[in-house]
Amino acid sequence: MDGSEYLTLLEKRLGHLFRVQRDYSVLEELFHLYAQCEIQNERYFGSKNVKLWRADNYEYTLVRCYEEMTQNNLLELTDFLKQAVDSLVKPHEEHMTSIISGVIVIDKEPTPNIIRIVERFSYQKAFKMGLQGWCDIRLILVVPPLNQVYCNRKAKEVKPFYHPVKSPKKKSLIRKIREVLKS
Amino acid sequence: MSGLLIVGVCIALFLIAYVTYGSYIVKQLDLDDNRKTPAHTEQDGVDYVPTKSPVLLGHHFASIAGASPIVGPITAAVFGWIPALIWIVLGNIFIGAVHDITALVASVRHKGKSIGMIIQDSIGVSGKKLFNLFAWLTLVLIVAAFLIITANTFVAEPAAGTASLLFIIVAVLYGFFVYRRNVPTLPATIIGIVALFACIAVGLAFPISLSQSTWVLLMMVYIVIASIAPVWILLQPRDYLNSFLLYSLMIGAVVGLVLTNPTIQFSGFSGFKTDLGYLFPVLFVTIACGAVSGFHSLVASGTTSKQLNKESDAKLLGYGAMLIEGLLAVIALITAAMLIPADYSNLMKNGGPVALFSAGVGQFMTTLGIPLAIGKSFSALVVSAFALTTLDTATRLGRFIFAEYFDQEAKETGKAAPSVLTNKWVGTVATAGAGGLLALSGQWAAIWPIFGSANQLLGAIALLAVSVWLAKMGKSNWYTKYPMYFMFAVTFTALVTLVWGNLTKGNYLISIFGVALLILSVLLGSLANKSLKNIAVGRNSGKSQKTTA
Repeated sequence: MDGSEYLTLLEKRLGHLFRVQRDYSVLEELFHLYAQCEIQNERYFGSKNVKLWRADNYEYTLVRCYEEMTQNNLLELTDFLKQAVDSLVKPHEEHMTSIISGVIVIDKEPTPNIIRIVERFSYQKAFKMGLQGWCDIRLILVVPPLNQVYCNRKAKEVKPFYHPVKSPKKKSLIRKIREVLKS
Repeated sequence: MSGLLIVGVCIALFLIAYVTYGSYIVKQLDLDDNRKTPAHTEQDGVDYVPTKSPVLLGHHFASIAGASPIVGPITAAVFGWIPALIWIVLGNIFIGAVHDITALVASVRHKGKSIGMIIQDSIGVSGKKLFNLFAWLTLVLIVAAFLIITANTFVAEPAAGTASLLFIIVAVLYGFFVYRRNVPTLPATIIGIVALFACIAVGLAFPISLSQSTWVLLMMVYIVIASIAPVWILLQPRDYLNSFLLYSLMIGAVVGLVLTNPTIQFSGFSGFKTDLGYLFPVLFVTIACGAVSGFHSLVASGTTSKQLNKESDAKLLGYGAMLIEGLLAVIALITAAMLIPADYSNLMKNGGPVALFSAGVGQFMTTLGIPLAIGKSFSALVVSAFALTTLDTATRLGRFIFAEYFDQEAKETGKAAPSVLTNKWVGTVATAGAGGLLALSGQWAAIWPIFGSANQLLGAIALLAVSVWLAKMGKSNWYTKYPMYFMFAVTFTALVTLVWGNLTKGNYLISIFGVALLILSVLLGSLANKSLKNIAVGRNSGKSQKTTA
């Protein structure tokens, strides 16, 4: 699978929950894929009009393909993602989290130094000491031809989603027990 | 007499009622699985979602059960365990469970509309304003009652006070590490549960002894902060950890009860008049949630009706869930009834119903090898944790209603509402402050029956709405109509006698609340009755015109 095929695949996967756009500019920087998702959690009482609380979660995914990933390219991108926090995230009283995912797609195997920088990258910003939520940055490096995904700690929770070829789901213990009982 | 035998008999009676009277009600309501429920016809993946009955039962039960089915029966045991038990059993079977299932089915047949919405649509803006005032006063009473109950528990069980304060810190840290530091949920939960038990150990080693007033003031500050702070900081992690406490308590209490097989030592009948007042109506308003509760109609018609997969599930969720809550009330009553009257009075004076329940469950747990002090402290922590949840939920609701009232006023006059009155801090401080002021009077035993009356008035209004709906459908409604008459008689008598009783004792602040509730409920009841009758008359004349034509 090459980078272009991977973009199509990712567009399809993200499309279930995100608004996805191709070749989209964020702060005058072009990305091959841009996806945005807003989730509102509410607890209400009796009627939907009587809201006890609300918590909003936002996610922005910025995907860019590179022919080759150098240390300079990577640092430029991470700096940009940090800058993007201030323009993309609009904290308010019901804002809980915003997550900006920077996805790098390359065709060649990255150097160990690049992998190290990606895996060690960490960024979190709290708004009004966390009372208006916080923002995290996920950094994900995908090599579609080699079916490889490298990511920082925050992105581990979504790592399987970005695998070009998903590994078959592991059977749960309950399912295994059911199968044994059936047999 | 054996406490276990009483529980066994009650389980048998509830099961018999479920398969006989419950089935009769189902037949009267003409439940039909071929008729699609709003969960299917209005399915939106958000509110209207078909849900399997065991899952929905868990959600519904968690919403209706709280500290009230524990506090009410223990308090009402002062009349003797027999009248309290009879009211719990008969009230559940013939009124409470019928109220819940009919409210649920009425809502299902109205596309999942809540009973409040159905009444509100019928009685217009003035009715809505009265209802808002009524609801706000009731919420202030809930805040007051639970502030005193929790404060009394901490005075009697200082170890639980320390543990509760530490629990708040544990919950905040849990939320911080899971949300902000991405610690996986499973290890965080295990550490959280271990930390909860560590809180009890620290509490036993360093009990904080404060006066009741100081605890009330501390909790007022807590509920203001908890009601305003973003939910991910305290409420969400605390409620998640609370659920593990509840499971542990339920397992410990039930297994302990079976192994202990306590003997009933309390008097069966103490007389028609006690310190609480006359058996009629006080017993019937003191045990509200354990027998019949208007609040359940809000839950049944508010959320459960939108998730009901098929109509026949209404029997388990409406009728069955109420009987399960009745069983919880019976167990709470047993913890009081296994005491001799002198010990009961002593525990009620020095700690109140939660402390008494904690002592009883702690006693049960000794058969599992858990030391009494730890069992008592653990039980007090669990019930207090749920009382604190009730407190901040009531305060949040109070704030909402407070702001909505002034917004409504502004809409009518066409002028913008003063921002100070719709400000969230003002609504919160007004609700917590009014509740706190009432709580500082220390008269929880006087506040509880008034709250019970308000809750059951809501139940009577829900039964009124359901009765009219059944009549309009041309169906028999005696099984909702007579309970409705009974509930109106009980609650009006209760409010009148409670107001008079408090006036003669000089409890003027509580009396004002009682009078206000009484006036509002009379106005609301008459408005609702008139409007619903008009609708029924209108429909009937329309039908007859059609027939004539």
